Amino acid sequence: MGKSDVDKISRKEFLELSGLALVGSTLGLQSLVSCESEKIHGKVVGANHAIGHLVKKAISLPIFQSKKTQVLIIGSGISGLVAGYYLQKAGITDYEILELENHIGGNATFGEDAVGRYPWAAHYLPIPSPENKILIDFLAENKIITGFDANGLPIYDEYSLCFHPEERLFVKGYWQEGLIPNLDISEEDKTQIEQFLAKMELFKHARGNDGKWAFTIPLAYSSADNAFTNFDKLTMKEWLAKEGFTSKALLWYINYCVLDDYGTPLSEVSAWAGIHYFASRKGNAANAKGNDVLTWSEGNGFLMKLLAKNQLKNIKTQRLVYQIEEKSDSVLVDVFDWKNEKRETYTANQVIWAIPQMLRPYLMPKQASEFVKRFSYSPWIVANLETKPFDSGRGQALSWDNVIYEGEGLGYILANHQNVNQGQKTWQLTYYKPLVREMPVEERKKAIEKTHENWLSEIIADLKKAHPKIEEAILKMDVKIWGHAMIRPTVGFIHGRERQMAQQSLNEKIHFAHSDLSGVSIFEEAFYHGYETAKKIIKNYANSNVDTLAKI
Amino acid sequence: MDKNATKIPFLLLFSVFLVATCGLIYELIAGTLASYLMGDSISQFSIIIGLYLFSMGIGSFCSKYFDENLLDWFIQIELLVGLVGGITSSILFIIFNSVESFQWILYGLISLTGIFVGLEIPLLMQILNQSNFGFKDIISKVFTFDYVGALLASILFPLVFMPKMGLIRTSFFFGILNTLVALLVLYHYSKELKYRTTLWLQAFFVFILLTLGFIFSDKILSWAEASTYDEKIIFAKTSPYQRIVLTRQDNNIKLFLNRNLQFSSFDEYRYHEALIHPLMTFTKNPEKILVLGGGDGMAVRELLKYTSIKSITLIDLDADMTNLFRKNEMLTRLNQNALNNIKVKVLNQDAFLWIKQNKILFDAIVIDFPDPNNFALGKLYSNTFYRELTHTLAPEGFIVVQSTSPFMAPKSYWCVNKTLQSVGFKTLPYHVYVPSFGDWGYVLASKQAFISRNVFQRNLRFMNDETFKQSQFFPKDMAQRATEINKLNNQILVQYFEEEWAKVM
Repeated sequence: MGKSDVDKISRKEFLELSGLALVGSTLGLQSLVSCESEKIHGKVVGANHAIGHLVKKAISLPIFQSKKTQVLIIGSGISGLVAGYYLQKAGITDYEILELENHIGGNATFGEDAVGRYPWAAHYLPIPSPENKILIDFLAENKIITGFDANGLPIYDEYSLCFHPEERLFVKGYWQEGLIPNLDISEEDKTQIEQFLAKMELFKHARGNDGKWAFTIPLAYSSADNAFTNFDKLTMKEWLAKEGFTSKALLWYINYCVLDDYGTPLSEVSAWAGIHYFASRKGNAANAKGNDVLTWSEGNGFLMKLLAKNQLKNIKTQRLVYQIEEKSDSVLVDVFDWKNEKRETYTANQVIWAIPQMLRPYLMPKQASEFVKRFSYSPWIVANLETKPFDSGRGQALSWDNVIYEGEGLGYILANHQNVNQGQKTWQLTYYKPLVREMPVEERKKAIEKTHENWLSEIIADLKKAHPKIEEAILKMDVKIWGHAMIRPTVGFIHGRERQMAQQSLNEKIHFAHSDLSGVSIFEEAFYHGYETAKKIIKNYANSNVDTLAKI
Repeated sequence: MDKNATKIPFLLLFSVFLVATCGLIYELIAGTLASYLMGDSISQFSIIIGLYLFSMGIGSFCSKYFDENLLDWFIQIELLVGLVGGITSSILFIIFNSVESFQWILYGLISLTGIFVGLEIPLLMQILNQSNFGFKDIISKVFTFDYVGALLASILFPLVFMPKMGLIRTSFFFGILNTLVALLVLYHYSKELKYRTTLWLQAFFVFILLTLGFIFSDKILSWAEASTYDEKIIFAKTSPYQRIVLTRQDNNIKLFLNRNLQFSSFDEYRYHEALIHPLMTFTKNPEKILVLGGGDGMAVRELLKYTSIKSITLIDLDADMTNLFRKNEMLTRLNQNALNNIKVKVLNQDAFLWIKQNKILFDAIVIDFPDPNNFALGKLYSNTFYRELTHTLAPEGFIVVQSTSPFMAPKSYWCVNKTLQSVGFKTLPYHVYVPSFGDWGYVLASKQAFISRNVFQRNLRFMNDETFKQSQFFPKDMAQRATEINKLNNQILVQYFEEEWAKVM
C-alpha cells in the first residue's frame, strides 16, 4: 500500500535525521498507522515518525514572527498545566504553554465519542494523604472535595469516588473480589501474602531518623534515612528473595502492582520504589476508605480539564519546540508551528520545561546533560474497545478494574463504570499493557512495526482467557502506542545523583517540571513539580516586581 | 398403492386421518389461545368451538361449487389450511399488544381456518365419489378415519404437544403435517393435476415458511421460558432494557420484568393504594407530581383520583413498557387509561440522569423502581440519588419509595430507610400485605414533619386511616435493624438484598 510506504520512508528519515528516533511516540503527532482490520474497526495512534521531517522543514524556513513572553511553559501535560494554573492564581497572566500535539493533556489525554469518554492513559487518583496539602486544596477548589467533616476529614464528591464493585481478578475460571489472589491458593501462599502486607503496613507508618515518613507522596517529602533509601540499591525481586517471599501468587501480585504504576518488572524496579507503591499512600476521608480512588470516565482527563479550563487562551497546540538557548537575560526558544508551517521564536524571561528529560540533549545541545542517559522510560500500549454487553463471567460482577491472573496485559477498566444511568448498551473497555518482554528500546521498535490487526489479535487473545466470546462483542478498537509512557524507577535511580541534577534550575531562567524528575510517573508527582516550579517563578517575579509581591 | 378399483386408496384415507387430526388441533389451539389472551376460558372456548363448527359448515356449503379439478382444489385447500392454521397463533401473539380490536382478528382467523377445514372432507368425498368406490364404503371409511383422527388429536394435544412444544410450535407442526399431506397427494397424482407447477411451488413455499416458523418459534415465544411461569404467557418482549412478560390465568393478569413479578391484577390495588394514598394525606396541596418508574400506569391511576393534581410527570426508561400500557386495551382497562390522560406526561428517560439535570420542583415524588437486585438499580437507591432528589422536591413536599419486603429482606428495607435519613429526610416506614408479593414495605420521606393534612378518600378498596395506622407497626421479626448507608461506592443494599433473598428463594 502506498500510504505505508510513505510511512516507512519517513520513519527511516526520522531515524537518520534527528537523533530523535528514540523519542518515538511521546512526541507522537496523531498519525494513523493502519486503519482497519476486516471485522473490527479502529486505528493505531501515537506512533510518530514525522518529527525529523518537521525539524528539517522548520530550519529551512525564514522566521515568521518573534514573540515575547514573561514565562514560557513547554508541554501541556499535568506538570505544565499545574504550573500555569498556579501562575495564573498568583496573577501572572503573561505566559504561554506550547504543546506539540494537537490536543493537550499528556498522560491525562482522553478520547470521546457518541458512546462516552474514555481515558488514553492515566485514569485514577488515589485519595491523597493529608500531607499533600496543595493537592487537597486543588481538589477542594474544584469541588471534588465538597467539604470537610467535624474531624477535618475531606468529604469527596460521590460521583468521583470509584463506584462499587471496584476490582476483580480472574483466577481459574472465576472472578474473585479484589486483586490480591485469594482463591484456591495454598496455606503457604496465604501466610506469605499476610506477612508481606503486614510488612508493608509497618513501612507505611515508619518514619526515618529525620522525622519524615519513610515513604510518602510527593516522593520529595520522604525521609533521606539510609535505613530506607538503601532499598534503592537492589531490585524488588532481590529484596523479596532476601525476605524469603517465594509464593508465586504473591510475586505475581507485586509484579502486577509495579508494572501498573511503573511499567517496570520486579527484576528491574528498585526495592525502594516497590515498597513505595504499597507504603506511600496514607489517604483518609470522611466518606471513603483510605485506599479508595477517584476516577472518571475520561480518567485523569477530568482533572486535566479542570486545570486547563481557565488558561485555554494561554495554550498553543501543534507547536514543536526544537531549540532552547539561554541568553544573558532571557531564553530564546525556537518553535515550529507545524499546522500552519510557520517558524516562530519566543523570547521568554523564564522557561518551564514540562516535558521528559530525555529531550534535553536535542533541544539544548550546548548544555551538559550526560545525566539524562540515566532516564529510562517504559513503552506502553493502551487500547480502547467498544463492545456490546457480553457475558462478564462467573463470580464478582463486571467491575471498574478487571484483571486476569497471569494475563499478558494488566487487564481492563470499564470506562463507563462511573455512569449512573441504567442499561448501558455499549461498554467501553480500556486495556493497558506495558511492553516489558524486552528492553524498552527493542519493545519500542517492535511496537512501531505492528499493525492494527497485530494488536487486535494480541489483545483479543489475552481477553479471551476470561471472556471466550468477547471477539463477537467487540464493535471497535483503537490502540495508542506510548513510546515513553513512564519513567522507570530502576535500581539506584530515585536516590541517585542524576535525578537530583536534572531538577536544578539553569540560572534561575530555565526550571524543570515533569513527573520523571520523581522517578515515578503519577499524577501527584507531576502536580508537585508543576507547583514547585510555579512557586520558584512567582518568587523570582515578585523579586523584580514589588506590586505583585503585595498580591501574593 | 393398491390399484384395485373397488378399494379406496390408502393414501387418501390417510389424508382424511391427518386432515381430521389437524382440523381438531387448530380448533383446540384457537380455544386455548382465546382463553389465554382474553381470559374467561369457558365462554371463550364455547365461542371458539361454535364459531369454528359454524365456519366448517360454511366450508362444507361452499364445497358444492367445486366441480372441476377437484384434486387440484383439494391440494390447494390443504396448503391454505396448513398456512393459516400454522401461523395463526404466531400472528395473534405478535399483534396482541399493538392492535385494538384484537378479538375480531382472532375470530376472523379462526373462521378462515374453519372454512378451509370444512371444505376438506366434502372435497375428498367428492373426489372419491367420482371414482367408482361404493358410496356406503366412502361414508363409513371417511368418517371412521375422521373420528379416529379427532380422538387422537384431542388426547395428544393436552398430553404431548402442549407440554412438549407449546402453542406456537404445535401450530407450526400441524401446519407442516397439512402441507405434507398436500405434498404426498401432489406427488402421487401429479400426472392428473392441471396446475401441478403452481401447486408444487406453493407447496414448497408453504413448507419452507412453516419449517422456518417451527425452527424459530422461540423468537416469538420461548417455550423454555413459558414453562418457567405458572401461568400462561400472553405477551413477551425483550425491550432494550428488560424482558417484559404478561401472563394470564382466567382473569388474573400478571406483569413480570426480568422474571420478577411487578403486579397481579388480582391484588395490585392493595400495592398501589398503599403506595399513593398515604403520601397524598401528607402532601398539603398536591398539584405537581413526579412518578419515577411505574410504567404500568397503576400508580398514576391512583393519583388521578385527586382533582387538585394538575400535572403528573412519569419517568420510565422503557418506551416498550409505557407504550404497552398505553395501547393495549386489556391493560388500559387495568390502569383506567391513566397514561393517556391529558394531565400525564410520559418521558422515556433515565431517572438518574433526568433528576440530575431537572430544575422543576414537585409537590410529591413517587418512586416505584424494581427491587435493587443489581448494581445498576442499586444506584437508584443510593444516598447520592436521594440527595439529588432534594433539589427536585418542593420544601413542603413528600416522597414515597417502594422499598422491597421488610419480612423477606429486613436489612434491605431498613437500609433504604437509613439511606433516606442520611441525606436529611425525616422518614415514616410502613408496610402492607399484598398476597401476590407478601409483606411489602414503603418509606415516606420529607423534610417536613409527618402531620396528616388530608383524609383518605372514601372510595378506596383497601387503604384507610385504620389500615394506615396498623401498617406503621412493625412486628419483632421485621423490626428496625442497624444497617449501613447505601452509597455508590459500597452498593451495600445490593449485597443485603442478594443475601436476604438468596435465603428465602
